[in-house]
Amino acid sequence: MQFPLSFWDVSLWLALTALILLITAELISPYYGQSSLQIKKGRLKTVAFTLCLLFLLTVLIRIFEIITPT
Amino acid sequence: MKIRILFRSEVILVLLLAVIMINALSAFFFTFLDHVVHGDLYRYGLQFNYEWAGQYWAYSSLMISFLAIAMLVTGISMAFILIYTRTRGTGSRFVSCLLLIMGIVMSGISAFFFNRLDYIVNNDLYKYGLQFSYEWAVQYWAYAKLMLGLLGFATAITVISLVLILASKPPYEIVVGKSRHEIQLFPRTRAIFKIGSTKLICSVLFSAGVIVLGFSIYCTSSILAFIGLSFTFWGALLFYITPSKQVPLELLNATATSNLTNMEKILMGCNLNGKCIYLPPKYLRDFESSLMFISSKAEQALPKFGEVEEEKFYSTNPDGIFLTPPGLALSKLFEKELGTSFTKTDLNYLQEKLPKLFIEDMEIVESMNVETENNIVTMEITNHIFKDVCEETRKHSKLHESIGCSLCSALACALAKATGKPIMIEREEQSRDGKTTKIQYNILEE
Repeated sequence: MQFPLSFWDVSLWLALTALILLITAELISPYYGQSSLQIKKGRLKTVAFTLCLLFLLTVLIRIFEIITPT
Repeated sequence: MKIRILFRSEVILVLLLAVIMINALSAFFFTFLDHVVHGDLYRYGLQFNYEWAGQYWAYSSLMISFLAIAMLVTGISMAFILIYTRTRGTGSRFVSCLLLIMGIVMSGISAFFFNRLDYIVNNDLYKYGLQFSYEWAVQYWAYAKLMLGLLGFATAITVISLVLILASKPPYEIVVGKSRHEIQLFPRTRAIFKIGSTKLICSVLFSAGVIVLGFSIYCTSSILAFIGLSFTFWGALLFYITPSKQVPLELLNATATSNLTNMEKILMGCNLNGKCIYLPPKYLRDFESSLMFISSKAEQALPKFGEVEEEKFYSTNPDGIFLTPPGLALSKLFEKELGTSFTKTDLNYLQEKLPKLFIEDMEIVESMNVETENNIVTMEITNHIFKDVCEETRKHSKLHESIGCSLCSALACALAKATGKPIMIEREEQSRDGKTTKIQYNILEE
């Protein structure tokens, strides 16, 4: 038994989720007017940025793997 | 006397829980069947080949995946039934029915894939050297029949639950003679599950995600892993971003009105002609508190440092009264949100941080602008949520002139703390369309 997702599967999932969250966080931002969506928008933005950073980290790991001679 | 009891939530919940357990049992028996194919059959001449194995694995993983989805949607449907028990909303009833239908379809697809798999075992495997024997066949048929039987049983129970939900016609009622009385037949169920629907959905999503993730590891299915990961993540995220409690704005306005009237009465009763001055912390014993002084005469000096006592109402030297500002609690809330006390900040800090706090963090205004010129601080606020309270304050002329509305008062408290100087609300104007409020504060020199 092993976890069926590879590192790159998780990276892809992170990218997609971060994208969805970033766009959502921007669209419901109070700077565009008070939206009726009753959620903690600041927290949503934090999560979106965290996921985005995690995805970028996976990209950095990939780059590191490419440039490091085996 | 006629009693209509058509929607028995407990019965339906128990039935659906049984459906999930039966489906899980069905998946469990499939693993035994799989052991027969991948273990026993090799002893009866079966030769391994990727041609049949690839197809077999694909069908088995698809079957298990659909079975897992069927269990998942049944679980989610249970959550919606709980919401329905609490809210009586037709939407949740409709969604729960839809999910149950989806569960039946998923079970059907799962059975279809099992039939395809059975065809491989009973036809294709003979081409790869398998010899028929009752020894393995009896075992195989027993597991297959158990599996399909349980799947059918689970589907039947789901259909019964669906019929029970569709046949329900709440609210429950007792008709005694000509009078009708609505009753709560299951107050305990309603009380137990009287948690927020959002929290319920979050918990269901999260736990379903964890279960599916576990299944994905067990079945080595990446599709299930993606589904499980997403469910777990979204469940946790929804829980994290859901606000603690929402109160309608009308409620806030209603609670404020009486206090405003009382304050106006105090101002009128004490015959005060001076303007209200928000005292800086150095005048007070408690630096984190705020106090305002209203003098009896129009032009009068401020009280001296030692003569200010928070508990006192009347002041004799000079004549006037001490009052707790109506915006004190609000200003403390601003401090809490900013994570600092205004006493530790300055005017530049307020100018920089207040717009972000009001617009982005607390969402109480649509836009805000803070300008400082000499001793005058001008704040321009557009579309703030205290509009109605401020409107109410304007009806009380004395209160409006000297103290201002809750928001103006809260900002004055913040300014007094940040600048360390007495603050007076110079002017408060509203634009013609009523959207923008302009407040001018005067920083007084002692």
